[in-house]
Amino acid sequence: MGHATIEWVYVGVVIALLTWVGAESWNVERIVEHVPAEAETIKVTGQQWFWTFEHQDGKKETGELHLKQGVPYKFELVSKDVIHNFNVPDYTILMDAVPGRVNVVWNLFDKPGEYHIQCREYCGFGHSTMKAKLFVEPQTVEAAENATAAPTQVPPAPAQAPTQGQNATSAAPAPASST
Amino acid sequence: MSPKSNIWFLILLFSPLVVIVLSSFDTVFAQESEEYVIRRVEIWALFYRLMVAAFVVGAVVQGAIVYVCWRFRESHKRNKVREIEGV
Repeated sequence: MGHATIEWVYVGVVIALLTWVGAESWNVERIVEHVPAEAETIKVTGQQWFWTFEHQDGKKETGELHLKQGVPYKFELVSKDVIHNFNVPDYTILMDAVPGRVNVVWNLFDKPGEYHIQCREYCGFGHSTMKAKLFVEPQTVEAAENATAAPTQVPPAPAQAPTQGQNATSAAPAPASST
Repeated sequence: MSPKSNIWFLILLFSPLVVIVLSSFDTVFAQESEEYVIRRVEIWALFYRLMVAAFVVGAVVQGAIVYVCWRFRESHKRNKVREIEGV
């Protein structure tokens, strides 16, 4: 007794499924790899066993990285010795730093806070301690206060009486944080 | 299986996968309407879609195995003892 039809259906289903998986993955990779032209470049150097960061304006940081919320950043990863891997788990960033090569990954940090950077490619004795801290700073002081404050309102600055139609976010300097 | 029940069987089998594929378009369009794509949202969404597909396929395969074992068990009414040819 033959089952040619159902067997061909089975083969077709498997091929269709694998094609779909491949197409979905390729599409997401295409989307996340497209670096915005206005992204600010951060040069990330991995070496045994610490991370250093160089901003576009020349500012250098070691062991920690301060970035701004809502700004696209392009990371150019280099290594001075062995292969390392630049990983920010909370933002799903994972890219090798290979000696003799520059790998590029970009990201936009949409939530302010403190995050971990770690190495995810075994690079020797100190691999497990090859970590750094990422600080994503809020875009505005108002956003910072909203992120950390209890639900109390900031009183307006006394010099500027609120008028009708005045934009709440316009140029009055916010009061200094009491913390 | 009659052709009609074949059709329903195939519809039942493929509908979860079709839903997954169609839902991915909404995700992409939602992301593309904003200024920048959020990397982790895209990647996690892909992960969830593929996990659902994997579990659907696993359930179908397990269901097929269970059915075959049940249908061709020795005590099934339609499994009559046949003569072995050449003996």
